[in-house]
Amino acid sequence: MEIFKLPQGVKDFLPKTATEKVALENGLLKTFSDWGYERIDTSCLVNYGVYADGTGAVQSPKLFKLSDTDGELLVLRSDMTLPITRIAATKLNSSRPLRLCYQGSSYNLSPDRDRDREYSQTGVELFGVGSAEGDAEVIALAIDALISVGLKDFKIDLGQVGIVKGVLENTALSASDITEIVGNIDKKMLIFAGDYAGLTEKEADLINNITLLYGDESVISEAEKLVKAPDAIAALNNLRKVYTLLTAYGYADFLSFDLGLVNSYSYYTGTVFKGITRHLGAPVLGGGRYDTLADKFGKSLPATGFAVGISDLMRALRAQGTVGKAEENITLIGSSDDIDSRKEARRCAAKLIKNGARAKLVYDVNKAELKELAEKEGQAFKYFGGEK
Amino acid sequence: MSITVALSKGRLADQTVELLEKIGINCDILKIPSRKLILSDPTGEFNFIFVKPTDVPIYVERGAADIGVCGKDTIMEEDKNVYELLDLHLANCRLCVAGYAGTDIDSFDTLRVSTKYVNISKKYFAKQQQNIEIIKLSGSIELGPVVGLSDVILDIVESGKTLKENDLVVLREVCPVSARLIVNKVSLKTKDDIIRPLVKNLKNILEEN
Repeated sequence: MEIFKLPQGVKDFLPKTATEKVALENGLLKTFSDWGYERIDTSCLVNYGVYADGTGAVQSPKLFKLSDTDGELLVLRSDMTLPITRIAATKLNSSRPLRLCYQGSSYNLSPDRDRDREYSQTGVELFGVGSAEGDAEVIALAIDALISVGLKDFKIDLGQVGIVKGVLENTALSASDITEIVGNIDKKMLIFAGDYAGLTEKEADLINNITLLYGDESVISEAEKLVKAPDAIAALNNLRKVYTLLTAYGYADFLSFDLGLVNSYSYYTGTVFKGITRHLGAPVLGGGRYDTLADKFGKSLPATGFAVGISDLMRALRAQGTVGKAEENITLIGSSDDIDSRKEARRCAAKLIKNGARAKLVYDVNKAELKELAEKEGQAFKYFGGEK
Repeated sequence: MSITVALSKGRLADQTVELLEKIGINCDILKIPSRKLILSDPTGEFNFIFVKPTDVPIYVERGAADIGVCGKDTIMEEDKNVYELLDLHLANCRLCVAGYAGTDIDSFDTLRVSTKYVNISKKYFAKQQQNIEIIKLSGSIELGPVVGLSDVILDIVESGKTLKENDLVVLREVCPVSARLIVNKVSLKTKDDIIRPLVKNLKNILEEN
């Protein structure tokens, strides 16, 4: 029967996991709020035009599309960053830095059975700080937030898309060849000069070298020896500055580097990063600098941010054994069915709640049955009224 | 720390094991007939799992295996988000479009293609601007044109013997295929101590050959 079946790629969260999920989201949001990031909510429904040029997290064919009563095409948001950038560039137009944080689900009409079509993300966007200080701030915030929810053994893997961009755009390669090469870099596949018109042996070697420069901070020095293109050097300097700042802030131990990080090449413009832990085969968060995204809303607005994938983080925490352990206490309160006893029971529960404890009312039980129920749930109980 | 290695069941697994032994990994346990699905080397550093070749990419993408060895054809078809670090130059063959000699692919309004490579076929013929109808088969692909189920097949061709025995010929070559080392994108960084030397040793061996 269709009504018993969930659509492909979506999940229910039953009380236990829903509680864990909300606790996790609130934990992250608390850290964001502590650092001055203000909460923002956007609508799930977005005009197709916002995503039409493919700058969102999901390519146009994989957007959930709906048509409005006037025939306009609508989509379900595929990320939070684009709707928030629209707001930052228009309604919140400010000359001061804007710090925003969010929590919500986005959607992807993926045909793959093994992919989530609805994914909850908690994250931040920092608008108006174009310097390395902005990058360092959100990366430090990502680290603080992951620590605050109890994640252990994690690293923030840093890259800078400007390095690869600077090198590629300094060659005679065509735009379509650049796209193909970026795809190869993303898979850490070596490229061969002979496969592309306008690519010299030396340039191919350089690209291959950068692709495989991952590890500790020494990769920055390695790259500094190799790279000659001015834009690529500027990108390296920026990454070095971000590293220097984060080291000064005391976060050096959380950092690793991968100069071949080129995911969402056309979207990001500077320092990019992923949160990784050996407990999970996928990143728990991802982000970076996207200084040109607001252009399409008619404003030049430097921006950086990140999003935590809530189900990925939950899986990582579960794998390291720290989520779902805390069973909260609650008092079960029962009464006989006369009005006075009901009143007493309700008053008792309200008092407990006012004092910061939790309580729930139980009907249709006598004292013995309530005792049995409370023992089964491992909770305290109280009963009002006569034995029945 | 240990890593899990996904091997493609069959001949490729044997060839991969040979290569791993050459770089000093003790694979004796893999040679004893066994029904166990997961086996470890004596150091405990490597766990091996044997899976269906087409399943290797999903194991690696999800991190259930940290690294895996499978054909380029499988990687292209499954299109998973993994690092493809090395061409191991094993199981070399070609992905080809084949059919009866004289079949003019461009003359069909809609070309019927039987194949197990649905995604590769879609992409390849879209690039050729040829409309196709895909008939997905899981084996004996060559039978397609022979019994009139399809006009052509898209499949891997090793020696060409099966084609020849069924009077079929290669009409077009799509791309060469060989076995690749794929690596989970997070494991590469978090299990660097094991994976980096492994890749380096494999690279050295391959360059010697």
